[in-house]
Amino acid sequence: MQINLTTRRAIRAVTAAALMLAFASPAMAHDGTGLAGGFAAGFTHPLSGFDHLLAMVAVGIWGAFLGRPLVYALPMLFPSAMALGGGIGMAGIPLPPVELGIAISVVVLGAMIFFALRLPVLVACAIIAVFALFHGYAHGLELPSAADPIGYSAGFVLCTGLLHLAGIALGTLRTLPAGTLALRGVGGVMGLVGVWFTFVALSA
Amino acid sequence: MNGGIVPSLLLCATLGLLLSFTTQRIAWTGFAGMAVTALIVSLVTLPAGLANLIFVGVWVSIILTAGLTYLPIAVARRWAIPLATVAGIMGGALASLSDRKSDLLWALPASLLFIPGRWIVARGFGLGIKIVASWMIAIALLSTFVSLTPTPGYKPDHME
Repeated sequence: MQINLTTRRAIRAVTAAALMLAFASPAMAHDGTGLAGGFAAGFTHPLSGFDHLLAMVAVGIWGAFLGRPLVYALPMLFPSAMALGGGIGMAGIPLPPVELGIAISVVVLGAMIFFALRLPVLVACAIIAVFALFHGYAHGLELPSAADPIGYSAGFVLCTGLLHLAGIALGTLRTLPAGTLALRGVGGVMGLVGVWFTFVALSA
Repeated sequence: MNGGIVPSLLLCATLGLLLSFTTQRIAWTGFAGMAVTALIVSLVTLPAGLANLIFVGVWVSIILTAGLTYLPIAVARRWAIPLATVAGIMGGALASLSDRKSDLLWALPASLLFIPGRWIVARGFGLGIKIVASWMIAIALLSTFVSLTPTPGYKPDHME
């Protein structure tokens, strides 16, 4: 059977994304925080929390579904909005329950992929920016306590960006015959996991 | 808290990203201008009281330099040399404050990212460089906030 170029690219992309996700721990709790600072701690932090990891990958997949310009606009917008959220957290400005916001972000992003919703550019950007604020806020609260906050920030942002790229790589599956269906299934599973996160956040 | 090679490295790398969108001549001129300015400024003795101001200046410089990659190429070219000079001043000031001035020499080659960067842009993948520039903006924003926020010591994780 001859495998065409698109299929080979998609297989490579999925392999790369799978390798990246293989480093992720299935544990929900984030553990690379507190005094353990530095680049490595920052880099591994998003991988140690399933809620953050799923949301980051979902941003990439949804961007790939939406196509240009959102396929690159969302991964560009998210880190800056997340940093702003971090600043709000550091400043101690109160936000609605952050864990709930993060859990809902997984539900909504999963649903967007499941229903393959194609929203207007501004609306999609606004949704991502709001969720990024929540993700950044949670980490902004703990960032100043890291021993090397700059190295930590660099590792954290780099890993977040790479997770987006992994999501985009997974999103290239939609070029395969059953790719869109498979990705929508992945979105559905993400949404259900997000519902569980929401339940946990509400019962805490 | 702000020390180490990371700020200089990020500054130089961000300049390399911007220079990826310029012509070869402007890129090399910007690199040389940045390197010479940084080396000269590193020899000046700066008062330690300026440290926080300089660090904030470095992060602002990174945000401006990375932000310029999103503007049209003509604008990026026009501002590349002035921003390279500002980056040189900031990089030199960081080295002047640092105990390890050799950090600057290790960081400067990061500006040469424009060599593979120009190759990438020429092949139509400049968006990839813009995505990396957005990461630089985020790191600089977070670092600016950290610079302006007193370190509270250990606090429990948001999941704890």
